[in-house]
Amino acid sequence: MISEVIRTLALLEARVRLRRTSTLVTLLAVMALSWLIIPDPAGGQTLMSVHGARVRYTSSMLALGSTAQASLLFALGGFYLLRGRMAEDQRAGLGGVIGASMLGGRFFVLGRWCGGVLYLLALIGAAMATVLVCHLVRGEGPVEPLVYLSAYVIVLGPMALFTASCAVLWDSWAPLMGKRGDLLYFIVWVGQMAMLPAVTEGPVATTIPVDFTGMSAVVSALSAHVDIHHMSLGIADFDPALAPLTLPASVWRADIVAVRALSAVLALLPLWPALYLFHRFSPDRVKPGRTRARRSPLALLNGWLRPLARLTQPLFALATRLPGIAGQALADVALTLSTTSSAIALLLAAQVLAMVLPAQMLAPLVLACVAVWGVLVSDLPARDGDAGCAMLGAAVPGGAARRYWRQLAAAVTLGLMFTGVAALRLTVHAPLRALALLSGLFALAAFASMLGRLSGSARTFLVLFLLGLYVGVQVHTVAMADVVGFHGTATLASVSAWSLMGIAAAWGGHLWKR
Amino acid sequence: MLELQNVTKSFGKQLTAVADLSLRLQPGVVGLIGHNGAGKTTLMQMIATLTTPSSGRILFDGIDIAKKPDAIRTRLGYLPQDFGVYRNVSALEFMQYFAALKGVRDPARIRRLLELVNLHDQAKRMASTFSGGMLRRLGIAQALLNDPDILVVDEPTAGLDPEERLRFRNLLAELGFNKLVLISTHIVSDVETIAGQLAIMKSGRLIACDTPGAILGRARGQVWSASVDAAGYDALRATTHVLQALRQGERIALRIAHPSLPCPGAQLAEPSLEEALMAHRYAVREAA
Repeated sequence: MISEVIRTLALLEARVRLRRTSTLVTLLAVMALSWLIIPDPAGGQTLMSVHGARVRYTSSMLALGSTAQASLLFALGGFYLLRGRMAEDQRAGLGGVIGASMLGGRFFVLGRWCGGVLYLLALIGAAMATVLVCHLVRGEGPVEPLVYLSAYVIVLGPMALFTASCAVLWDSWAPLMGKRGDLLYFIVWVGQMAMLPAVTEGPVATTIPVDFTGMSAVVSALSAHVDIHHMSLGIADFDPALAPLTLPASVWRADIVAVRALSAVLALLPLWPALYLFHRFSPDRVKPGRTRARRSPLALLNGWLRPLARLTQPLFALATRLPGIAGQALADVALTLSTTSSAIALLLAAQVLAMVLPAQMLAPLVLACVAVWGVLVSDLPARDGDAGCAMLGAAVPGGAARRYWRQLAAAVTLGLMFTGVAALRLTVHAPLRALALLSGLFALAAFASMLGRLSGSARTFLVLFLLGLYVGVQVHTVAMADVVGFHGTATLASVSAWSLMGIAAAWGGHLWKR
Repeated sequence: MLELQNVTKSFGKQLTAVADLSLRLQPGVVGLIGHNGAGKTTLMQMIATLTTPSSGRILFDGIDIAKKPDAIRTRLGYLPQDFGVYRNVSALEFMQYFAALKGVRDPARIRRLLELVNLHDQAKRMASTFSGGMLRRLGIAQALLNDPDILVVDEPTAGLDPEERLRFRNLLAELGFNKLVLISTHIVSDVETIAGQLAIMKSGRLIACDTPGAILGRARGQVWSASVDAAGYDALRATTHVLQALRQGERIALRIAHPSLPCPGAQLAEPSLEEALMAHRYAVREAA
């Protein structure tokens, strides 16, 4: 009986997700990415190279390489795709119905978890199928399904379990719901990335049980066959003059498999508190209100800093005096700041620091400001819909079409408010950095607007923004990765490219649902 | 002032929400009445420029609002059936935001409107903590910010308690003295005492548009009262339109819509507006 309930819930959950258009888009994106991460060696690039020599595209190599890449993406993106179902229940008015039903809370949570795992497995299946097709086109050796299957199970299995467990926990416990939960998970993901140096730089590569992404397992498996200290995994150049290397068909040692099995068990740990903390849609636990707001550290901070919201009064007053889109955009700026008093405090601090810090410290300050700004504006395009004000805002002069542009203008304005003083100082010391900052802010704001309009949610941009920020900080030498001029490696070409992409994104968002 | 010419709104090939609807409206309170799914909300959304007609035109002072939506938006107040407020925003800030969006330059107007809807004492309170009635009043204050000539209000009393309903109804009646107030509802009592004109919709079509008095007049002679036993009630239910049935001891007191004497002993009754509308709807259905 119990297993039947959970099975029904899980299948229903998987069906609900798989029937969405967004799932189709996600599947297509997964398939496209899975194809793109395996470059054609004829083009001078490969998925894996060691000491400049490429590794042959055998089943074991493609399986290992693709799972390593997929694991990073699914561990991050999968979480944001999975979470939010309970908030959706609330919005649809089903929360109360579920809460008042005879269904046990633990069964419900388990059902949701199973559904989430099934959904992730469907995406992983699509990725594996794409890699198999790619193998048929670019592979160098027979397709060995069991080699693929073992790699996908060993690397991606614990990852899928952990990601689904976290998504369910984050949805089940009110303090983890919302944007702060999104940020916290990103930190969890980055934390797993931070374990990698311990694996690669130590004398012996070990598999770490709490590395659910499986990267340590992949590196550990490879360490027995290649020099991992001179290995490049991901799209990389190689020397065609060097003889290609070949990985053996089986790279998995018993100790690695055992650790991954332990990881799979540990991956269930977040599920355990979820079973007990599940709010069961109790209004005093999940309904936005004073009681709930006091529990949230961010809401508490915003409450303490609420007097600062008075500083937005001149902005509102000025907004009424400015005609057309300028006034409306300024009203959006004022509303954004008044809803997040902590942002006003950070804005003030940013101005002071931008004036007093030495020039060489401006870049980290700008990066911090951009991070705060990105999180702040991520929900701007979806704000009206989330608050139930979409129709009110569409019936004002300019309508829904202008709302898109005014919110984009508001996002850019907020970016300039956060970084303006620093940008002015940078103009003197490093004009190209200042230019990169401006073009980067515009491009990011345009992507926030476009993605917000396309997905109707803040999460898509937030995930990509945080991922991009992480990658941007790590990559020191690629001009295109220096979106806001943090490293000083941006060039006129990269600045122009980001500006053009920003224009394309802004226009694409405008044309969507026009 | 507002003229709808053969307005049709279709969603795909299967659903026509509004079909070939023509209507001319002048200042005053107009009640748009119809059952759920009659097309009222779609019609309201077209007037509020949230969506455009599939065919036909909506003219505001002679201007086609599909071509020039801002012509009506600057003079429009709109309160949808379902709306919310931003989190962490006071009622005052909510009003300031919409004042800026609508280009309202008079800051004193916000205070006056909050007084009008009796929320001036709550201006600094978080709007998300308001009760349903307070939210509705805040919504109407928002709709009045630009001193609109046309006020479009969709299901205004949904979810309100009786006291709030009465207060809201009176407010809309006052506004209708010099503005066009278009109220969409399926609750007749919301508009029967304040509307000068009733537009009745059924399955996307306008089946009548007249004063409440004229609609009542047409129903006179078609609404009957009778007292029957249980067996008689079953027989009558099969042949007539029973508007109301109330058990009184062993017998059942009925109100019936029928063009002629429905049963022996039945007596003509003075119809209420709701009964008149029901009688009219049955008559249209039978004619069709």
